[in-house]
Amino acid sequence: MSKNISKLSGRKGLKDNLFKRMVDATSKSKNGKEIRQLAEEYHVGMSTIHGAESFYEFLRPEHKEKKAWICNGSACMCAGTQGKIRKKLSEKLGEDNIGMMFCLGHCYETNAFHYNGHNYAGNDIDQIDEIIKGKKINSKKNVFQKFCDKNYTYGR
Amino acid sequence: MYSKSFATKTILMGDDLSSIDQFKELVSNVLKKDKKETLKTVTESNLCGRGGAGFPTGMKWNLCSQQKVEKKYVVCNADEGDSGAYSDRYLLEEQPLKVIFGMLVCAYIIGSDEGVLYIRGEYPKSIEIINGAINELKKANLLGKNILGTNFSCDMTICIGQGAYICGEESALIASIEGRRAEVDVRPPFPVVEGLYKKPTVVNNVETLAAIPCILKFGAKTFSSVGNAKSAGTKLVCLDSLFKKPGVYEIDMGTPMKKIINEIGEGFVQPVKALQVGGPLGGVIPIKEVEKLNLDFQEFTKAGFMLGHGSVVSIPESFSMVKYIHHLFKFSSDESCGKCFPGRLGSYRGKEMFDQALNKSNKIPIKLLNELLVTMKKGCLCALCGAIPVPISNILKYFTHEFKDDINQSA
Repeated sequence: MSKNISKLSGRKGLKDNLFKRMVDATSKSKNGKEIRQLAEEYHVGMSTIHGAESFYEFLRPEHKEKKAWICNGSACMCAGTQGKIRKKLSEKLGEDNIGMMFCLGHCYETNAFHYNGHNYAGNDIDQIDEIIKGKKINSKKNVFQKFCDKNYTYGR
Repeated sequence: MYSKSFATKTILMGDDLSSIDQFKELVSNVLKKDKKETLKTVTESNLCGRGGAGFPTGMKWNLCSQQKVEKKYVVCNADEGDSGAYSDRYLLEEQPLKVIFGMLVCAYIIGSDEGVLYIRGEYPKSIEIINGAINELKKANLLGKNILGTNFSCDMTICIGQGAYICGEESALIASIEGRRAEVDVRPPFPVVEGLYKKPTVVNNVETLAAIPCILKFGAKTFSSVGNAKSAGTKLVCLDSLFKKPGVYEIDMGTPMKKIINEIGEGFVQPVKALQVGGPLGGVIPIKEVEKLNLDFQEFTKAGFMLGHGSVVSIPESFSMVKYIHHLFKFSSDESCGKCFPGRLGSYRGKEMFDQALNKSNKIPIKLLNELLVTMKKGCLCALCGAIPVPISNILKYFTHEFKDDINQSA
């Protein structure tokens, strides 16, 4: 069965990648219309798309409803920093709006959380008001020794 | 700074590939050489997969290059989900050209014209930087059609992970990209024969690919002369915030762990009783045992642990090991793909046992727990649930004193 689906997906390949299309459709779809169209376009059943999209944490409605996510990786847990982060974020955003993500990769400074498409860690939580307002914060820069000759951040 | 090289010869953390001009020069050299010669260099370096599985990279590329199929793929596994690990994040954000160069060389050797980096969604900055680097390389005709005016073309794209740890496993990662449910596949066939879209595919970890530029620039011996034949070269090791000097460090394979802990990490900010090395599936090693080991894949395995991706999580003296085992079972239960019974059912049953131990509603049925661990180790389809018995068994062996009041010996 999976050979059949792999090959059907492969007809469109990486350039019109089914996984990316599914992620986009899930974020737009309110009544399953986009998912249905996608299934037809790729000649797979609805259950194939539903089976795949239901797998992912980020695509679940209860995840998408949250406003901030705390790192619940082992390093942050052992450092004992999550309680403080949860408390501060709950005060600002509401307890029901705080979710979890497994390991944001800031284990060297912990206190990690994700908000509005960005990761924060270390002492960043002390500037949570500015973060929520969308302002640039005075975060620790150059935590890793830089070698790249230019800033590859997209669009800059 | 949270990054530094302590290696005899810096392979991963240097500035030897930090500009488009340097990239252009290296690519130009590779395209002028015989592919077999380049493959021979990679093979002779003894570079093995840095994601944890440790498969020889040269062998993998060779197997794929031998497949008589026109369409092939290169996949960079940038789904670094292990807690305590941020070495791939460092490479993606600070050494993106090294990673992309490694992919390009692989594509050239195996005969592929398309590559994809599967980057976890938890790393938004990595996604942004790799995207930017790919665009810059395209503008410089170092990616895309007819690179540097040759017949070699290679496009690269990014897939963004959506929060599933299992996508760090190569067959689940491939299923994810294809739009299938990201469940682990039975192998054989291996991806080098039937991978992405059932075409021959090389799946390599970020750190593996990032080692390629230096190996090609300075020669295979630069890498193979460090460590030993099976654990060669340098390794990025990530020390967490409980070290006095947390950070990602490039270290020669074979370096004593005592040196890594006491000299490079400069010890701990509070008393630590054990280290979990290699992510949530890696061994939990009491400090006294860690200090006997060297940074070596085989040595760790022989001692009953796992070096894996090289992350180090420190477990403080004050942290309950009952709580830690609960954390491990909960992790495997939450992240299980659900395909195999021992993984799907076993991880949840284990979590349930420790839910009850933590809330004191029931003692841990030790006989049943040990049976469960054996069943998961022998019966699971992949390392996610199949390897979780390793750290749990380590804890039960070395920290028995913490459980004496919580165990039901007769159940």
